[in-house]
Amino acid sequence: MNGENEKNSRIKCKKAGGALLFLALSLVLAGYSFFSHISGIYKQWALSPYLFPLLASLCLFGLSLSMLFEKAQSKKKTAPFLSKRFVYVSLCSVSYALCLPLFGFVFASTLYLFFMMRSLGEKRWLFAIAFSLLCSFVLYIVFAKLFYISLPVSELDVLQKLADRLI
Amino acid sequence: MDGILQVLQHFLDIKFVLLVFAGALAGLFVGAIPGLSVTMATALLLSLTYSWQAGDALAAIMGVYVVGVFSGAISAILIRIPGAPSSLVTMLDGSPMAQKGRARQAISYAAWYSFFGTLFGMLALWLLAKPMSGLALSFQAMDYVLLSLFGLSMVGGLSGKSIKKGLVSVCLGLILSMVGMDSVYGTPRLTFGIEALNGGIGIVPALIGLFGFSEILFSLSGENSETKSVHSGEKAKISEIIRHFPRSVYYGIIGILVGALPGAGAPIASFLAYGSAKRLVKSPKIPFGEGTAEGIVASETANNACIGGALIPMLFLAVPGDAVTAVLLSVFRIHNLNPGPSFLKLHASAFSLIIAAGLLASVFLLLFGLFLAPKMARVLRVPKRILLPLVAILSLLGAFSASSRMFDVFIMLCFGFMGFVMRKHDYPLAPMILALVLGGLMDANFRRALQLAMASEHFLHALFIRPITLVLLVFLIFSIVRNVKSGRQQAK
Repeated sequence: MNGENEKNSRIKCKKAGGALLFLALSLVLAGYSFFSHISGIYKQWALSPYLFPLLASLCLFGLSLSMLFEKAQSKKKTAPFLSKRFVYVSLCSVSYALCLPLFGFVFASTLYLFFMMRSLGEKRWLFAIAFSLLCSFVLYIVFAKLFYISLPVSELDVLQKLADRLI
Repeated sequence: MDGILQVLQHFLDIKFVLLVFAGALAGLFVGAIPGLSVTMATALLLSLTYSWQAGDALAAIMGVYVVGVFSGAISAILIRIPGAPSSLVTMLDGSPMAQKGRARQAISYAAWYSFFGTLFGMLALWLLAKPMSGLALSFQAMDYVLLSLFGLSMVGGLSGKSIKKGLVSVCLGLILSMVGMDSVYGTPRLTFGIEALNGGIGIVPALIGLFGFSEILFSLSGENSETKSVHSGEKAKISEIIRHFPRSVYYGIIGILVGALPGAGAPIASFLAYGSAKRLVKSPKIPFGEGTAEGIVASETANNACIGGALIPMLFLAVPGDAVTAVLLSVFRIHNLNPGPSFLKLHASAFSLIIAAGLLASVFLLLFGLFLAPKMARVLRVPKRILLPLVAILSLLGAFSASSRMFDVFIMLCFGFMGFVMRKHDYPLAPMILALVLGGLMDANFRRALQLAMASEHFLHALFIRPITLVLLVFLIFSIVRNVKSGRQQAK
């Protein structure tokens, strides 16, 4: 019985956590809008660029207050939030975005695709390499050559020249 | 009668048919690849068609436009990345249908009702252009605010289990839409000194992050981390498809009206139509948001009907209804065709050509949608260990190609993580995108309306006492009351 109560109160705390976060966000935004208006050149609120952010943050404030007072009704267990794969894929994606300017689109994408496929359970090394390379080149040709979208090029001359030659 | 013959004679011109076909085929692929927009494709085509004759250029561009608007639904249904913001609503029911092994059915519905939507739009353009353009012109700042609020009031229909969470999502979207340079004073707002944010948060990176990237993270987290593929299922039966036709006329009217309003656009039309569908169909076999065909019907009819609607103010007032018609306007200018009130008198042949190209493109849309797009549904059979990395890279590439900025890739990733956390806590994502689309429009028009009203002697009179404003106000109040009622029912 005690254990169940403890569980329920934990769920309530979690729900309150979300509401508290939105409450804090709304207060910060309301304060930001108010003080930015006062310190600006705007004479009337009607013309102020901070009127709408202030209104939106006040709405958020009201909603988060109401959520805070709402009793947690759901007692269902939530699925585990993070898995190893999730963390790995997230890290891979952020690293890819960071490495794009350094390696250029073709090589960064090949590496990204390869590591993603391996992490998701692709066991065939050769297939993973060939597929990653093929996809990167096809995407490069579609976006850069067909639609003239300038994709990131490598800051390293050697890699860029190699990619240009290959394409 | 002469007008009908003028339109029909274009169908006998092989060159015309081939140009519309080529445009339509390009539109199919451009719309289906996340990050490549119809606007981008028409702008590219514009550069290719400088030296062409006006008719040829218009034929190809109409092909891209009509089919491109439909094909955004393909990626929305199959890989849960809407090809364009207007396909987001299609995704709400299309993606669950695909996950249940009914992808081909979902695509069939999207194709048929995009076809009907385009037909409604083109017919409206043909028959009602003049009165419609007058109506569009009489919309003032406050009317846009009320229309946007009416759009946001549809949040009840998009919120799933909790309206409050839907409203929180709306507030967050509105706040995020304020980021960037203010449209009246040019003051950077909520940018916190980050220069790259001065241009605001792009809809495309946000959309791709919230729906595409967060879906990858979601399918890898916790109990949903299985990597099985899904079957694409059978096509929908014609009898099932036709059953929705009467209501699609109503969604088509919404699409045409919203499309005719400059700046409003297809996303608002599809959200409004979806909200209306929820009101019209009170007890669907499958609930909305879980794979009901009515959701796809409403969204696709409305967003394709917008095409005809958006062409009305462009042709008769020289005011583009959306980004693509803005590009089309430049095609007209390049070829010395001046849109305006006397367009029909001066350039009757160009008008009939646009109608013919739109109608023909809608036929190609249907053919591609029924015979080519289902082949794309085979993508669902690809094992997820291969499909997910591809979706991830398309998400990253789509975010980048929206404005060729690395910053947008990081914005997309941030929205991806935010979308993941929100989904885990049952916060709906669609209201956030709706607010992000409408926020800028609301902010600028709200301040403009206040400014005008303050200059007048009777503040409230100036704000609200106009027939269109009052009608919109009544609709808005009605919609809010309904939402409050359903909110109370949920609480019980």
